[in-house]
Amino acid sequence: MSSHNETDDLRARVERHLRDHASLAQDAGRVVVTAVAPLAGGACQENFRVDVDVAGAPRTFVLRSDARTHLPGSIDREAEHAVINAAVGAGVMTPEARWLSRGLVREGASAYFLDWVDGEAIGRKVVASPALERARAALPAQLARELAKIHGITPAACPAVLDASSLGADYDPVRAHLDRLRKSIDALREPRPATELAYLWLVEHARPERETVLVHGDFRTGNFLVGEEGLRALLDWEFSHWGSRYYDLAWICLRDWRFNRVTLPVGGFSGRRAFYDAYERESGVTLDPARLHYWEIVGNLQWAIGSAVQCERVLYGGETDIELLAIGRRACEMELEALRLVERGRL
Amino acid sequence: MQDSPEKEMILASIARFLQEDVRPLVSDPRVSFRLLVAAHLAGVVAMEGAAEETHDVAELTRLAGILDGPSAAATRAERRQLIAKNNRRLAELIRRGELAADARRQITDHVFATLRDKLSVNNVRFDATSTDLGEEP
Repeated sequence: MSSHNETDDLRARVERHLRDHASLAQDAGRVVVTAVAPLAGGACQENFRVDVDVAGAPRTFVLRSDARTHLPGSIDREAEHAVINAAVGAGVMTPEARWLSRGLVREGASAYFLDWVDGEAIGRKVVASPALERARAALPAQLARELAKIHGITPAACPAVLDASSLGADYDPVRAHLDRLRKSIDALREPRPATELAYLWLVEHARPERETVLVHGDFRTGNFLVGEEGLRALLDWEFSHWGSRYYDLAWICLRDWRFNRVTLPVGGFSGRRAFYDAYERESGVTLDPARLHYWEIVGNLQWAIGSAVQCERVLYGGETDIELLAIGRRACEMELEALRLVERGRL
Repeated sequence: MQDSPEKEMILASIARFLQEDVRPLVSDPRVSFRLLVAAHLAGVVAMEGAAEETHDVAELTRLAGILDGPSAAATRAERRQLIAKNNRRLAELIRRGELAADARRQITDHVFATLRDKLSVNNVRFDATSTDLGEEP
């Protein structure tokens, strides 16, 4: 948490940065940052709301900076800046990333700005607010359309977006993902029999995939902004990677992202059919239900491991955040869900 | 034995104080969210105090059945140490992957029982028993 003085120093630095780089006004002296305030959420990066007076007109931005620690699988703000702008280029509803810099918020940390978009992102409100009822009806088709656009970005077409050097002709995103999971399980300090059991099933039931696309990596309720009419913007690209389209398609259905509306598997607001049918129409790809089931188990297992990792940052990594500590007690939810899906044998 | 109040009551009181008295005074959304987390954790610890011994004894007994090891411990610390050691052995056994069908069933049942006990403490709202969540009409 930043003190008053730190926030005021940051305000002055941001003002200088915008005056030097942003060309918001003809006379840079008329760019005045009126407030910089920390935003809630984001265990892996630091976000601020930045209010600016541009020659008498108010503008608002989000300033997104690298945090002190970095989570396995997450990219830094510099790579995120490139991914977002590739998505913007493909017509994805997400605000353009601008004015990338280093050291603005903290020494060595990269940061960039996004235009502020009004809307609701808090998961429990997105799934339950009476004012968003019309939006929830529109979301499955809207999200499917955006996801199809993201998955249209391929390493062959856009090799510079993210490092594609490890993607040979025989690259299998299933095998690659299982290897990453194995490494992250092995890096945990405490043994997790439930995690091992789910992982064993995944290894036994792995079927190769031949296609690799840009994966958002955290495509779920809580990471998009919603207005009364529906989707306004996709956010939070820090887990983007080259991988399987099924990763995103399953991730949004994880039980934890249903925000207690467990009978509505797509993000707590829709059945699977409406979302997957719309995705098939938009992408021209026929989805395989067995792969969706498989990747929903992958997703749950990954989030179980991720929860344990977050907690170990406090137990062994010198962090003190009580939110990270609390997440450790939630890993068992995702383990149970992964094994429930294994036992069930289908979605 | 301590005088009243009992620890569960102290924890409930801490949770109520954080939520009802402190949270309205906090304007930083990050601090406000963490106050909710802290209050929730106080409730979790209260539940754990009541259930810990039963859950841990049951877990150790099941582990001893699977791994053919000791199931009795003289103290709480010894029991926790034994559970941790057995969990490491069990995780390695699963990782090797060569499990006969009946052993695998026994391990799976144990893992589910352990997860359900954990969830009854950590998240009382989580339905850990249904296999069908009624997801598709």
